Amino acid sequence: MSLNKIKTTNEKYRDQLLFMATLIVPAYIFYGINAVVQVVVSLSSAFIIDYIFTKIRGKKFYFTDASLYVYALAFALLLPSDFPIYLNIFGVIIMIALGKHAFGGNKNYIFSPIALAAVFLIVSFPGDMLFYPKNDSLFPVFKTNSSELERGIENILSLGTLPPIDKLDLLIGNFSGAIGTTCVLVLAVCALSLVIRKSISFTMTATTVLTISAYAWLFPRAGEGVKSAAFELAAGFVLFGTVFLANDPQLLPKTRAGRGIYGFLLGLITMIFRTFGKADGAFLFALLFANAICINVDSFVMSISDWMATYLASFERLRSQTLKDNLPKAEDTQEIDLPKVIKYDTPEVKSEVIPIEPPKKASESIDDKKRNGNIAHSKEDEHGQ
Amino acid sequence: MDNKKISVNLTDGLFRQNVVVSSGLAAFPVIAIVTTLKNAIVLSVGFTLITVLSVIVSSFISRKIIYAMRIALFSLVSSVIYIPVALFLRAVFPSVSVNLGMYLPILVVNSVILSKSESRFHHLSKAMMSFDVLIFCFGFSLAAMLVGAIREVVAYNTIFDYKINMNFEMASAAQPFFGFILIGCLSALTRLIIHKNNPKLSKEKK
Repeated sequence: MSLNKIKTTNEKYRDQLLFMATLIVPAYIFYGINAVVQVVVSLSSAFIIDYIFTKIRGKKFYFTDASLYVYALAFALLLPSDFPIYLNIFGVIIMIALGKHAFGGNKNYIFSPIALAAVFLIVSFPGDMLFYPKNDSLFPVFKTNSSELERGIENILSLGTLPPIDKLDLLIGNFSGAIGTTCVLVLAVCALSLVIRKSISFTMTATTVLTISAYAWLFPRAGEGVKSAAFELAAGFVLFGTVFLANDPQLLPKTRAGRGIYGFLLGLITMIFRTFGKADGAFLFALLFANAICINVDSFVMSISDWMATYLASFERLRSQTLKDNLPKAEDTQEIDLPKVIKYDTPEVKSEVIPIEPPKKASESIDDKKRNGNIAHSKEDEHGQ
Repeated sequence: MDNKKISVNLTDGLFRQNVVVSSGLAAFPVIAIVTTLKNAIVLSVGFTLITVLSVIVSSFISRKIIYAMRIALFSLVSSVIYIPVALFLRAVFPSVSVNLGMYLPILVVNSVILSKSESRFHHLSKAMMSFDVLIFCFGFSLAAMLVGAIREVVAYNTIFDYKINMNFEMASAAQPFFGFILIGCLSALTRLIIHKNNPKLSKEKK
């Protein structure tokens, strides 16, 4: 497949699904068979629940729609490995029923269904959702993790201390967290590959990461400088969420500037929630907030760019001419490009000259009318007969 | 227009025009405060007393008075009626009425008194009007008790303080956001039943 080809939404979802699936491997290495069980349960329940709700709505169910599998897999990767199975299914019901179908299905929803379901679970079951199994040993293949639970990095940072994690462990994801959100290295490779394949927005991803890093560097919660920024990026659901949740093709603004604004607001709100809020999972709350704010960001950007192209550009041109002593001549007229939004339905001007007939005399016209009238009357009479 | 008599179905308030799950005119106190069955019962008693008495008394206000002034007088009447009702509730249900907080006084300006009385109740004869308002309040009480029971079971695993053995305890069910979701689901169910029983409505929609 050519990289320059413009991809359809389903193709983008398929790409995301492919790269997201790679996160199951480190999840299996760090969290054992439990992580795979969560993924399988989430995928199978999402398929069944979506089928049921699509049929309830009287719509056709497309099993080739990759968005469903992306949502199910992403949702599973946001959970702790020892998350109760019935709550996993409950979360999938919330995601599909409330997040997707209640808003009218694909192309209609305004909030990320995955973030909505995850936030619902965080608020409702914080004890199950925000406590992760202690990641004390590598390769617990065919085993379950230790039953010891601990909070994630996000909580440790909010206490004003840096977590005791090496740089290498931070990169490979050898610390407690949700199934698919800890492995920074794999996430970075996924992000890079997806950007090259044009399946996610570089502008949005870069803006979010830069905003969070800059905020953490300027106003560190724990540690200072680069260290603070690195931990803030690795904590919570930031990297995973930026790459896979915020880059949902159905929610992403269409314009580059819109994506920039969306990414900046997402990063800023995340850090504000982290600094002044108490709840963990600030990124997911911020994502819902940014979804609501940026719902119409494209039209805002378009109107600003139209205004700049129409008025500001012509003013700047005149100003630069004046500064160069190249004053416009008196007979010159200022060209103003009217915004393309306004459509003038004026007819095209033909170059042919149409001679105007001289007006007929009053007496002739009256006679003509009378004659026409008589003819008309006679015709009516004929029809009547 | 003002003195026009209308024909109404007296069972509307129970289900088809239920003020909580169908029209949503009085959904806000149910969303905010009805987290237990006890709260639901006390709120229903308060709502019924304030609304029935206010609608009946305000029906004596002359219809020659302009609309804006009339609505202000309805509020005045209901706020006067609120005082003895609040004292009564405080005497009978001392602990629960405190839990209701500001949501009991705010019933003074509920839409059933201000809006529904103008569009429906005051067009009926006095006896019919009293019966119709009572049916509307009964509909409110039923919906409030259903919501209260569901939220109490889900949030605290109790019903009327009796413990139920369940492994599913969701404390957030007592928060307003769950109230919105629950009433949204109940509204959808109500609409579905109404449309199933009335094929004309679904045809018009198509």
